[in-house]
Amino acid sequence: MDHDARPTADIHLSDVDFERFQEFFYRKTGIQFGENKRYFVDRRVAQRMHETGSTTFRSYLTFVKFEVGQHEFQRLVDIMTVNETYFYREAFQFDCMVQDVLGECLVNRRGHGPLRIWSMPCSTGEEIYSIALYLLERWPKLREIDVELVGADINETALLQARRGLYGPRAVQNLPASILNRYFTPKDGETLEIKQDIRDAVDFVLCNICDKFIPPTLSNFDIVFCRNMLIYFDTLSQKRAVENIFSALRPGGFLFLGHSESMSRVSSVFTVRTFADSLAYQRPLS
Amino acid sequence: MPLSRTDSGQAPGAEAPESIGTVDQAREHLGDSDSNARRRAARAFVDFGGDPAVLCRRLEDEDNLAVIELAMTALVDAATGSDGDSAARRDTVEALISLMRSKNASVRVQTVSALQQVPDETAAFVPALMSDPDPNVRILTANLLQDFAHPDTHAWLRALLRTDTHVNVCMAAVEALAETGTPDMVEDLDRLVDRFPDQPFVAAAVAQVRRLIEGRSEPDGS
Repeated sequence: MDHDARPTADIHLSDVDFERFQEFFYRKTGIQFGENKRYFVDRRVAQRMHETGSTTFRSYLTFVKFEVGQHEFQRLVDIMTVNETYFYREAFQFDCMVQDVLGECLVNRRGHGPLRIWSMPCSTGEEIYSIALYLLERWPKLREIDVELVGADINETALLQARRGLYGPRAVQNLPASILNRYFTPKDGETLEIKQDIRDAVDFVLCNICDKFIPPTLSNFDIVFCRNMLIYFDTLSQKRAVENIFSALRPGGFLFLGHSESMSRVSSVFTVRTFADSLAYQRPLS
Repeated sequence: MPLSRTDSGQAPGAEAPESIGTVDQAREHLGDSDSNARRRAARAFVDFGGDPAVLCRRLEDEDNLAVIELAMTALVDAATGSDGDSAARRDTVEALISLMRSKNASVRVQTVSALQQVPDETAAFVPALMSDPDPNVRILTANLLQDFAHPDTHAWLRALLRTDTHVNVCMAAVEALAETGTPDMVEDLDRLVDRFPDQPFVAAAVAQVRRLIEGRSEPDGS
């Protein structure tokens, strides 16, 4: 690595640099950035080059590839994968979960262990905490049945934020005042903190869904929410991701994709189930 | 509050999968009665550098779609991965191509999908597939070319239109061109109608594709 840092504005990626970055980032993460994301990529790579004191893209890439501990690679992933989300996004799927799907999961599950729900990618936690709030507010059986909640993401910084549970007004704009009053505590300025017992109920895990092997804790789920992620992947990465999700689901478990996403070109192994509020993909029972 | 959390490395109730440490163990588990074990074995077999022809032969008898899909993804990884040398990648594609003759329809469909993901590695085999004596293989080849990112794709499809003697192969090529055909192919389509004058569905299909192609060529056509 070079240590004569240049200001970010002076750093420019050539077309060849961009192509090399695309290829490298895709190979490592399964995420593809097209030419339409050129500005987004250029700015962020330039920022990382500036902060690591790299004077050329080649030296930066060498550093990212070969650094012991791969800390810079993780920082690069973090800066490239930040997606804004908010509480109760596409809430009709949460309605479907509490009204139809959880009941089936109770029938299908073997033994009396807890139900398990996974949010992937969980980003800064809005989705998995929304699920927690829905269960607390709208699923009376929660008094009898234990539910385990897991959020996973490739972005370590997002996971840290998720664990902190601090949100601004945009993130909580869809939440009714009664929910805000019951489950959030005002902090500095307009920031709200989701209550400690809810934060403590969620396990957050670092995970690249396109890896050949995902952490063993990501298994035996009854429900997986994987919304608006596959659209960023090419066919092969989509297949890898869906195969990992299939493996992580219990037989009879359900997968929710984003409302504009479809499984039809990715995999035929799930059964499409149509409920009153949403459709879901079910892993066959046998 | 019955929202609980598990921080352990193993999810509760999860059956610890039997570990697969060698290619021989993976080969053994390819015949396991549990489909989950076969899925793990297929991935491990490829990752350990097992002979892709062995896995492909095993898929001939596989009836679980989840196993077939995972094995195909693993084989695509092997065909594109930076780990193997070019001969190994070629062997993988060759093994996949052998599955175009599979008696298992799910395997044939998944094979076409897998080969579409490795066009650079598959392209060298396309001319031979186009002249395969089995028309079913040629039909699948036209299906393959329907979504095949290679500069020669249109030329190959046009060659099928001009020369293949089997009407179903030609119809598969017509179908493939419906999505991506261009006005310069209209002549080949018209000739096809002349080649099969006793098959009215050829004329109907060509007329439909012509409409799509000519509509697409208009400035605002989409």
